[in-house]
Amino acid sequence: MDLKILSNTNLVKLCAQEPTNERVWMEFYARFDDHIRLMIDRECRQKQLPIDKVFDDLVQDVYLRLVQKNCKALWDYKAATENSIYSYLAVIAHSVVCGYLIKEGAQKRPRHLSSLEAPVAGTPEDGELRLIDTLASPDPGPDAELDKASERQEIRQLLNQIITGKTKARDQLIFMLYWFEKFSPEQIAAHCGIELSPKRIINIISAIKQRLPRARQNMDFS
Amino acid sequence: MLEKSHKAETAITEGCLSDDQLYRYIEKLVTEEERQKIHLHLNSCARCFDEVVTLARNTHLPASEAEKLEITRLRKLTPQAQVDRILDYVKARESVWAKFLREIKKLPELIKFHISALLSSFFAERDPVWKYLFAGAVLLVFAAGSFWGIQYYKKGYRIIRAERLLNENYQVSVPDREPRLSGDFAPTGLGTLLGPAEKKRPYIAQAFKLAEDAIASGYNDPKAKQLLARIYILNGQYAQADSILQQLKFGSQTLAAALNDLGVIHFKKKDWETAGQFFAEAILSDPTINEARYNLALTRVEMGDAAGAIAILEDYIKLETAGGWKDVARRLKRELQ
Repeated sequence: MDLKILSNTNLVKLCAQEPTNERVWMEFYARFDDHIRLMIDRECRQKQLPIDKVFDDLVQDVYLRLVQKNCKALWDYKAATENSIYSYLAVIAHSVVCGYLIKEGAQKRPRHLSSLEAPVAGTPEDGELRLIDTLASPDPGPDAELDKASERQEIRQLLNQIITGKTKARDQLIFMLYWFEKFSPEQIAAHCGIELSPKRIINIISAIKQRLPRARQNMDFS
Repeated sequence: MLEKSHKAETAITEGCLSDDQLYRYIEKLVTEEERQKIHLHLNSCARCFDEVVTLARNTHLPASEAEKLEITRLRKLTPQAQVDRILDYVKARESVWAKFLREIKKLPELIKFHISALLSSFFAERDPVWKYLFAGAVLLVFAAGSFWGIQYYKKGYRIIRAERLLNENYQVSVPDREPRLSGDFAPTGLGTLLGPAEKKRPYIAQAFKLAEDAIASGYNDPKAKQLLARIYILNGQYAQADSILQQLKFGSQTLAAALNDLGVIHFKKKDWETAGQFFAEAILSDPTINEARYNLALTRVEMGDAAGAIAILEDYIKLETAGGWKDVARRLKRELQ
C-alpha cells in the first residue's frame, strides 16, 4: 500500500490499528513531526521555559501521549476536516507543556531567606538603598497587569449590559476575541470555534462598537 | 477522546474545559448545547479563554524562518531513531489483551473480504439465474432509494426555484418608502406606478405555485413557509401571511425574520405603532437584521418623528454592508434633515 496517498485521517487510523508498523509511523513522522515540534517550541517560548533543556523530552511526551493506553488518543481521534489533526496535536502539545509546568511547580527548591528590607551591602548605615530597590522585574509590573485586567473587567460589564438575547454569550466572546486579542473576523470564524460567517461577525462587532460609547457614558454618570 | 491531563492534577475551576472539549470546540465538533455552555464558560474563565486564544494562534500561524531553523537545531534524533523510539513505547505498553483487541478490530475488514469471496464462490457454483436474481434485488433497492432521493430533491428544488424567482425579479421600491421584507431584496428607484394590476406580476404567481406545491407535497422546512408568507404579503393577502408567520415566531432560527415580516404587514396596513413594535422586537432578537432597522426608521418617518428616524438611520448606515441600501439610507437621511 502506498501510504503517501492516504488521507491524514486514514493515516492516523492506521497508526492506531497497526501501532507496530514501522512504515506507518515513518509516514506519520514525515507529515506531522515538524508540526509537533513547532507547537512545543511555541508553547515553551510563550511560557519562558529553558527550551534547550526540555524541548526533546516534551516532544517525546507528545508521542507517548499518542500511544499510551493502547493508542487511545489515536483511536478516539475524530476529524472535522483533513487538517483537524494539526489542532489535535496542538492541543496535546499544549497539554504536555502545561503538565510539565505543574510538575515543576510542585517540586520546591530549598530557600535562602533574606529580608528585602535589609540594606544593600556597601551602603552606609543611614543609607536608604534596600535590597528590594535593586531588584529589576522582567514584567511590565503588577500595575500594568492590573490595568489590563481592570479594562477587561470594565468591558465585560459593559458587554453584559449591551448584549442581550440567546446569542449573548457568543457575541460577548466574539467581541473579546476581536477587541483584546486582535483577531480578525476571518480568524474568529475559522479558528475560534465560532459557527458564523465573517460577514455576520463583522455585523455583530459593528453593532456592539456602536453601543459601547453610550453604555460607557451611562456607566460614568451612574 | 483526549483525557483530562494536566487539568486533572490541579485545583480546577468548576467546569473548566478538558483537552477533549477544547479540541472539539475549536474544530466545531460540539453540539449546539455544548457550544452555548462553552461560550458561557469562556466569558467567565480567563484561563480557558487564554487557552483557546493560544491554540487558535499557534495552530494556524505558519512557521517563520527563525522557527524552522530553531526546530532543526533542536532536533536530536534522526527520523529512523525517532520512529524506533515510538515503537519501543508501543511495545512496552501493549498488553496481551491489547494485542487481541487490535486483531478483533480488523474483523469488519476481514468480514467484508470474506463476504465478497463467499459471493464469488456461491455464484460460480450455481445456476446463472441466481446471479440475475441477486442483481435484480440490488437494483430494486437502488431504484427505491433513488426514487425517495429524487422526491426529496424535487420538493427542496421547488423552494430554491421560487426563492430565485423572487430574488431576481422583486425589488423594494424606495420612492414609495416600501418596507423591506426579510431576505436580500435589492432596492429600486422606480415607484410602483401601475395600479393593483401590477401586483399580479407573473413571477409572483410562479413562485407562489412552486412554494405551495412543495409544501403540499410534504416539504415542512420553515424556509418554505417563510417564503410563502412573503409571497402572500406581496399579493396583499395579509391574513394568510399573518397566520403563517405567527407559527414561525416559535422557531429560534426564524424568529427575527418572522417578526420583521409581521411588522411589514402592519406597516402596509398603516398601523405604525404595531409595526414599530414588531421591528423593534426583531432587532432585539437579532441585532444583525438590518431590514428591521431600516423598516423601523421608515415607521418613525410615518409617525412624524424625523429625529428618531435619523438616529436609527445613522445606526443602520454603520451596520449595513450592502452598498445599494446604504446609499438609500443616506439619501433618506438627507431628505429628513
